Amino acid sequence: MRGKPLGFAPDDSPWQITVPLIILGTLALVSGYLNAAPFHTEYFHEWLHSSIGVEVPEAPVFEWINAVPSIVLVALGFAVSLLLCKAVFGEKKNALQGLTTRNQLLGAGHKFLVNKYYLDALYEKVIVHGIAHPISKAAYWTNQHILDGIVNAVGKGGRRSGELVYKYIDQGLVDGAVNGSGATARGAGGALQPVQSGKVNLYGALLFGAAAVGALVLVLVNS
Amino acid sequence: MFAFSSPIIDYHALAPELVLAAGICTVLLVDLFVPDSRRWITGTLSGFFMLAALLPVVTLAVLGDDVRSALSGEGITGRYVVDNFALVMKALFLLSGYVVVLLSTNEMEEGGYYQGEFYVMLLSSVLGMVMMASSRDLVSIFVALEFLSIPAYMMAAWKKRDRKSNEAGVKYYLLGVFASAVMLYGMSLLFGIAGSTRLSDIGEAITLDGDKIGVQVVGIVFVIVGFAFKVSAVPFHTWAPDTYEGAPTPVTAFLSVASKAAGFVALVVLIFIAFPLAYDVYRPFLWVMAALTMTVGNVVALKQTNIVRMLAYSSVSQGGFILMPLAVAFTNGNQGASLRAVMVYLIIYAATNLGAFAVVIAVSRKTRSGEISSFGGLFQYAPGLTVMMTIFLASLAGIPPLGGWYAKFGAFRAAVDAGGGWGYGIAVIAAVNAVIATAYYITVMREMWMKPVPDGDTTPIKVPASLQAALAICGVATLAFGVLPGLIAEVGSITDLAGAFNP
Amino acid sequence: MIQDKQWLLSVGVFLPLAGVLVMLFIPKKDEASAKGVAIITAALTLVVGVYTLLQFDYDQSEKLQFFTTNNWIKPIKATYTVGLDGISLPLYILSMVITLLVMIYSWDHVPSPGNAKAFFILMLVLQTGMAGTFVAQDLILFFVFFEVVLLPMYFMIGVWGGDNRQYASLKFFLYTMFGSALMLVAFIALFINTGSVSFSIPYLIEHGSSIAKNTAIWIFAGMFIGFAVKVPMFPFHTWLPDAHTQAPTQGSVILAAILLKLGTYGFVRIALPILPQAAVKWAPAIGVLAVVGIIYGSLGCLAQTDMKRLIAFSSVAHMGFVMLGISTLTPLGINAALFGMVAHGLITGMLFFVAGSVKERYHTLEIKRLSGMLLQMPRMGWILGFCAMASLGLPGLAGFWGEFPAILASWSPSSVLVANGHETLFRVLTIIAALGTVLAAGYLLWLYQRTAFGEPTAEFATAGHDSHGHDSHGSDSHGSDDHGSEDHHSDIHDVSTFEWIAWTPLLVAIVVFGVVPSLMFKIMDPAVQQLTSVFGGK
Repeated sequence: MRGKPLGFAPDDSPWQITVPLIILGTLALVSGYLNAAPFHTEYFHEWLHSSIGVEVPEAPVFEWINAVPSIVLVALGFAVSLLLCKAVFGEKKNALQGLTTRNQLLGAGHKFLVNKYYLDALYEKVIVHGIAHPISKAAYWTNQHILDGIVNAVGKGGRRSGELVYKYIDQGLVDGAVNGSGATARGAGGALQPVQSGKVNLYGALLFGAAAVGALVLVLVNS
Repeated sequence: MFAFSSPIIDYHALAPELVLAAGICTVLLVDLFVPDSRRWITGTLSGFFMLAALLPVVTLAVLGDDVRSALSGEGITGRYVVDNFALVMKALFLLSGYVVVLLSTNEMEEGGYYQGEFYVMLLSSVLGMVMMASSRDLVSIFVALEFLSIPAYMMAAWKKRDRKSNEAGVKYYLLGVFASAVMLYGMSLLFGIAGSTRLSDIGEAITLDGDKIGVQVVGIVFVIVGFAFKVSAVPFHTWAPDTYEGAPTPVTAFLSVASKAAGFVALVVLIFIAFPLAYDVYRPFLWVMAALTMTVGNVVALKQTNIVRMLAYSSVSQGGFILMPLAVAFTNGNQGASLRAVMVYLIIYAATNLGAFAVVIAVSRKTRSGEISSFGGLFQYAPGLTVMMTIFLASLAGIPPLGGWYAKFGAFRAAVDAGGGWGYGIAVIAAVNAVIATAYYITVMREMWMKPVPDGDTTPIKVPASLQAALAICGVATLAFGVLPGLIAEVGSITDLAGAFNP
Repeated sequence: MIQDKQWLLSVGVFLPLAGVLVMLFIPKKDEASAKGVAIITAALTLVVGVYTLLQFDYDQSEKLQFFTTNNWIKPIKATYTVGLDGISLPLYILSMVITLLVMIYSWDHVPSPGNAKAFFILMLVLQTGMAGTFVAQDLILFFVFFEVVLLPMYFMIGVWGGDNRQYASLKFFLYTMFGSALMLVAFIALFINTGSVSFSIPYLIEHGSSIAKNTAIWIFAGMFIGFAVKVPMFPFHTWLPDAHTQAPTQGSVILAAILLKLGTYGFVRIALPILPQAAVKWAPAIGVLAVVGIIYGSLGCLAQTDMKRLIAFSSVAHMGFVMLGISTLTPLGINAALFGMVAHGLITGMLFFVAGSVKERYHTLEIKRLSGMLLQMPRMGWILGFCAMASLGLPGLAGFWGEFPAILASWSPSSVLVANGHETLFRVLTIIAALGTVLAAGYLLWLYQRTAFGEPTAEFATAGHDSHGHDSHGSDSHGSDDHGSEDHHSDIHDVSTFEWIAWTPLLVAIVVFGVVPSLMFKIMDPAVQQLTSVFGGK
């Protein structure tokens, strides 16, 4: 190892990484041919078809005209990167080595590349923290406070209306006349005591009143 | 006018009533001659007579498939009949009475109450109910009603030294008398229109046309009010919570089940035989009452902290569900479904509610409290009772596969069958109420299963044999009716109601 | 209908109740016998299930097999009718498998406050309800079984659940109760509108088209709410995160694996075939709600700080894919939905198992407190990773076959829907749903990265055995490497024997169905083809 040590100098990987990489690389080389229109292989399509058991939409027709430029481009890129690698990390000393520390512009470009176009930062800082989290927080807030709020409000409302009906309508008639059972206990504890409290008077009035109102309304409706 | 000729009496048809009458006399006599320490005999005897009276009901059901008029003769036939409807209801009253005896024995013995007299009152009240099931005449209905009510007033006040119990009895009595007065006035109007007290005659006369519509309407409404009081329909329910809470718990069970069922029997008979053509009057009246009864009963029950009071309001609301099919009867030819729904509901409700009260009695024997919070942690020291109570509450809430679901199903079906605004309207109200009701039943379940024991006392509860028997009867019935509703679903097709007048 | 071996399904459904009867006579203190009897019952039930699998005629899987019908409630014409076709078979068997595995897991994981007897009885009752729902061919019978599961699940959450269990269980109960009340009214209306003849599902499928279109749309609405609450579909889902989070592990697993499927199954078994015209009207709405559910559930996941609650929210998203598949009304979509139901059952069930075991070891599920699981419990960590990958729909694992074909199907919905001018809508839905899978990858990988990678947090750092047997080799060296393995809490340990027994079948199934999905598609497809023939196939 000669020259200036680089922060990102490649290192030999342990076998745990090398072996899977070899396997994946091999697969990457051949797997494309599983479903390659120019070679008339449709293994993946057929497998998908047989797995689902239902007709899967057909792929568009293949044409060499469209494919050739991209193949050429890929081959060119491959060659350029191979040459660059050889020049930078190779044994022979040349002008390319250390270029990024000498030229500021290239240095910036280098930093940009080392940081993987800042995509991770973009993803982490902008998309995840800037966009996704606020949205998900908002969605969750909606869930807890609005959707669930409605559900809880219905439940609480039911209970509350029970309270109100009981307090003011069902028992309120009683309370209005006299202070509930406290007053009932006052005075001699005779059997007629509750009657004097007025409860029964009111209940009786309600009974007669409802009967009379019911009869009246129905007579009016029916005649 | 006709000359009086003494009626021909069908003793077989009258046998249940006669057995009960004999029972009343026997218990009274035995009570005179047994020493205090052996007064429990009166309870056993009463239970025996309830079951003995069931025997002729069974033989009548097996042998006589026709409608029998218990008393026949010119102008008398058809006023007191034994048909399948009457038999089913009689069996229900007698069995409920028997379960109430089972619930009462320990309570009466240990509470230092007058025992002999209590059972005489209970037998008398049941006799009144049994008579109600056969009555097809305004006079016999009224007699039966008073026969069943007056002993009930006294039983409600049976805890002599307890202020609440006294209040319960007096309140029940006074309001009962008011209601009777209103009803009697209505009956006199009906008699004035029809010139007869026989229901089938009234059914032909009440047609809501002619120049006496007002009188007809008032008569119908007032008679219905009388029974609306009995079934504690809102707004005639005011007595129920106080009375239920104050009365001895077995009496509360009796009032909320048997007495209520008797009120519904009278309503069914009146609507199906006496008012079938007057649906323009009873339908809106009962419809509003049903909607109010379910809703108010439920909503108020949500707030209760006392278990008996909660069951009281729950029973008010259940009454609303039973009123629902009655309110929409004779709409779209659904009277068959309506009658079936009412009968099935009454039977299943009786089994379930009596069971719930049995658990309440068993638990309060230990906790000496009626608060719902006293049920806290019941599962830890009385898992059997907890499971039973869960079954009964779930059945009241209408959760399959427990009996209550089928009762509610029948009521819904009658309403949807009726269709239109009346039918679907009440069905939707009932559906909402079914969910509200679940909330408070589940509060009790939560207390039993999930809360800690309030006083930390986890000694097991000893359930006396009679209560165990009551629990077994109610539990088996609740489960069986839910899993195999076919057992009771056959009862009460329209032809079973003798004298029903089909417009 | 094939009326062969008519007893078979009834035995499969009610056998657990026989076990309950036996258990009632076992004293509460004798927990081992209670557990043993329950597990044996569940195993026997599964044996019946396997026998059913063997006897099933796969060449006629579109027909109801082992069909039997008996009078049940004569006056209302409800019958005891049960039968099994390709649609129900996978779910029926799944319910048996899950119950058995959950019971095995419970052998040494009875949640506080104990009482194994009651806990196992509830699981057996649940099993009867679930299996019964999948074989019932009568609406009333279906309704009864559908409701039978309510109470046991309520108690399971309410008694054995987490801190907020009472609120969660009550909400679960009342919400579902509300749904089923409307569903029951819809069932009765269905019955009356087809001439009050029968509640039997095959009969109603034949005569459902005679219902006037507007009535049908209303009836469908009633059923829709009943089923949608159970699924749960957005916006009826709010009971689910609470119920799942508060339920004990066993409850969460059963809830996720089976109970949620009762709702989607109801759509496929009852709502679509009986009311096809109404289904066409409702399909766009269902599709939209499904996709809203996918995005919304995923966003909800991203906002979670609790691992279990995150998994719970992911159910909302996954069931969204299932409903999207159903809403396309195509064979491909419905096949995908059915597959997705089973796959979600296996995968999310497994995730809840893992969450339960993590909770048991760390006594917390807060994501920020968990870290470095791969160092402390490498096997558990790998299983979590595996399940997360399966859940995000990695090809080759079961989850893929529920999501991918559903998205594919929504691109070209049924010809009826195209004829009604909904093609564009569904294509938009396709795109949004596809974005949803990206979000799914986001929250699952985020969860995995936070909990499994890195170093254990300080509070648990000293807790693991064997901190670096496997992984320290490749990773950069830190000072923490030379912690002794002596000074740890004893409760952070790797996967235990009972966990292995309970989990292996699920893990194997996830791989097998991922690699050979046709195992299931083959069974379901004929029945689905028959079902979708009303919608013009395709």
